[in-house]
Amino acid sequence: MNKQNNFHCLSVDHTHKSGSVSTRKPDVVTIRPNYTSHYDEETWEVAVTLAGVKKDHVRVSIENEILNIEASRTNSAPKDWKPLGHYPREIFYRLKLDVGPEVTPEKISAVQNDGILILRLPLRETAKPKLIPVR
Amino acid sequence: MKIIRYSHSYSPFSDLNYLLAGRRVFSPLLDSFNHPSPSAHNRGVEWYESDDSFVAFIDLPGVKKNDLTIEVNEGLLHLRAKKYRVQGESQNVEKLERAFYLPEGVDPEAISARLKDGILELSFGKVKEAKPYRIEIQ
Repeated sequence: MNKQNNFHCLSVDHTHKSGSVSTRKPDVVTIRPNYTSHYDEETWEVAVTLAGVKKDHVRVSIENEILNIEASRTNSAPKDWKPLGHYPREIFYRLKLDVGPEVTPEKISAVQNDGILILRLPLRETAKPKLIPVR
Repeated sequence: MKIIRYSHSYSPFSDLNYLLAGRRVFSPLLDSFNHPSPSAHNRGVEWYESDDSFVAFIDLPGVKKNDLTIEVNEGLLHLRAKKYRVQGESQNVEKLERAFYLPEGVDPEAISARLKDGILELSFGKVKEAKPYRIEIQ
């Protein structure tokens, strides 16, 4: 049985660091990445969209039942190329999810492929549904 | 990943393209190269120009190269992709489709594509400008 569900997503600052107050578009932006989640009896699974982010630029941590995902993506275009629009030099991704007490923190695993980060969060034994035999 | 180039002048969709180009309101698929919108960044498309090429970086997270078709026709770049997502025991398929106007001066025969980390990098060669030459009157 698969169920779609969203963790409670904590508010994230959407800061634009342009260095000064102006109408100029920022060179560095911080955004919340898109994500989907679902769960079954054993595991929560969260898929976070991180296009263009390299594995060593992703940091996943959990503390006080809050899952923190931080990543960054740097503009890879050579400097002598002329941009045909204004694009940020660097994008920071920040996502905080309240996963509650059901998750086993030490068993969380993460895999990143094709710009998607997949996190698997095994549930604690006590959180798994149990069939109670009727005598 | 498949790149399809149409070099013939007639296209069954040419009239449709004309209509779409003139009335973008009916075409959410079409992104205008000539009139980039402020939200272009949010849609994950970046264009650059170098001395000898145009390069586009297009976000396609979750797409594998075998599930992507790139079609160039009548100055229009058309991307079609399928994105497979396994969720537990079930598999979902999401179909993606995007179209872009190509900048003037693109050589449709000189296109290369690379898909890495969820970003499609498309490189378009420029048509070499015809140099004027003098005709001797005999």
